[in-house]
Amino acid sequence: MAAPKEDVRDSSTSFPVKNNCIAVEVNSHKTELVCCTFEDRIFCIVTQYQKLGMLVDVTREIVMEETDTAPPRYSTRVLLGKDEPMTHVLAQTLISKLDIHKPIILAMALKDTAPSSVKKLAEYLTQLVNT
Amino acid sequence: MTETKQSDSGNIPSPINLAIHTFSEKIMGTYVYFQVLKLSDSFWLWIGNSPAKFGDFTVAMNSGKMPCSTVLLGNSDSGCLAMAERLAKRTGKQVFISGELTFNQIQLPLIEKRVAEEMKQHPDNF
Repeated sequence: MAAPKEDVRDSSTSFPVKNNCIAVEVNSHKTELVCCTFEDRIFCIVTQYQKLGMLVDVTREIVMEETDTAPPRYSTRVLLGKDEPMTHVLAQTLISKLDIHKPIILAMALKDTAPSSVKKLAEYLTQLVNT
Repeated sequence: MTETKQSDSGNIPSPINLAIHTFSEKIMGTYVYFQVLKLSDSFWLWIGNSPAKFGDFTVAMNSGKMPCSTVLLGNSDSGCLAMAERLAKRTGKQVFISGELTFNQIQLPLIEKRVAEEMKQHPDNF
């Protein structure tokens, strides 16, 4: 029951990049999530258009006196697409559940930006990154 | 209520349309790794060594006579840029290229040749 039933593909271990893909349906929108782990960065794609869409550079802020309870803080920079508050909010929400220190390049092309859908996608993304 | 419904539909394995195609080649003594993600009207190509560095990130589009390109991340004199332009012109698609192209002037054309070869052999992957 607990095991994820999504069609998870794993690349061969000899290739230096670790790739994971899943396809899920959220609020009846087919969404594809791809995560490529590199030595220096993680490239995450969340797409409902089969395109990269907006590209956001996400880096974790170094917080002095980091306590275990404080949630990690990320700063976002738009590389491609509309640099408007909504883009930053979407990116922040999508990565909010991740706990990684590597910088992330996030590509997102979303038809549905309802808070409940984006939260659901954030869960799937976390699941994918941690596999 | 809707939550359970959503996760249920999420559990039905939907076919993955986005596919990552990987290949590698030994070019002048060093292994070069390639990976392509086919997207709608575009593709993303990564080129690099092991251990894999994401490196620079560039995009190019064919617009009329001259392709236009820009560096999204990294060095502005990235070797990816010229390659992205040529691939955009060749395919007519929007081309994203990333990678640490610290290869020399003799290796770069060979790498591009290898990509062109792969395009010919497996056009469906681009």
